[in-house]
Amino acid sequence: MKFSPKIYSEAFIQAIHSSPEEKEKLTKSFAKLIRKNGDLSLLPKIVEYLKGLLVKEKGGQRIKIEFAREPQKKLAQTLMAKFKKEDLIEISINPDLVAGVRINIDGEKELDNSLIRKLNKIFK
Amino acid sequence: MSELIHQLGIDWKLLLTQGVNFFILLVALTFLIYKPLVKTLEARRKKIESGILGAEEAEKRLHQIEILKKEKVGEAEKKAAGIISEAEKQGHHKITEAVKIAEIKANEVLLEAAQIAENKKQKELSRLEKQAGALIKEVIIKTVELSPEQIDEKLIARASELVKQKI
Repeated sequence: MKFSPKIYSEAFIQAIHSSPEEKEKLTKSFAKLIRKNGDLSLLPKIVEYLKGLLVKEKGGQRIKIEFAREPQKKLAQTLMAKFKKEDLIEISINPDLVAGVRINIDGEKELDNSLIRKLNKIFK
Repeated sequence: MSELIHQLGIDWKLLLTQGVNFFILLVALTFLIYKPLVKTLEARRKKIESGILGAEEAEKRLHQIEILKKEKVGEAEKKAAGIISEAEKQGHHKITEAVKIAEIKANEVLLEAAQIAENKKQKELSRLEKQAGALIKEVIIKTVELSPEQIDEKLIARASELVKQKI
């Protein structure tokens, strides 16, 4: 690993900003560079970082929502309505939660309103 | 007188000669036998005397030694009795101390054993508590999974209320 995913992502964003008209060319060059450095295994992490950086640039947040099962549409909509348009919302199903929802904001804040957390808290 | 001597058959000359012979024999015997014999006897007597004296002295010394021996034996017996008595005292003291130490150790061991038993009990209780908790948790999960909608709805609704505070 020559560079960390964070450095790759920040460098790529800076390059895009310096010449936005060459976005495609830059993307290809960026991919080539990663391959040349033998850091292809870091690609998923780099993409994650890039997503976060892009959302931040727009003034939004990365929201990861985990439901225990497919939620009722109305409930999901009510929850989504709490976020801004600029936010990047990623929804996933995690049966381990048993019931409820777990929301992660920018990988920093977490709201865990799942049944498993409540049970774990009671039966420590 | 002379006639009488003649009638008795005594010859003066012969008598004189025999007298001289007897005297010579007497002198010779005196010097050659009697005196050395007396000297030897005297020496023997002295030797015997000194032997008797020596024996008496030896007997006296022996007697003194016997008394000394008795005294020494008596002293030694006293000393030995003292040493035995002291040793008995020390032994008794040591035994008492050993018994005390043993008692203290036994108490410590008992305390330790009690503590270990208590710890084990606590651990067992804690383990049982955990098992019971896990079982209850499992039961709740199974029950919820039978009809999760209501709980899901409530939890998500509550999350919707709380999310604004987090953002």
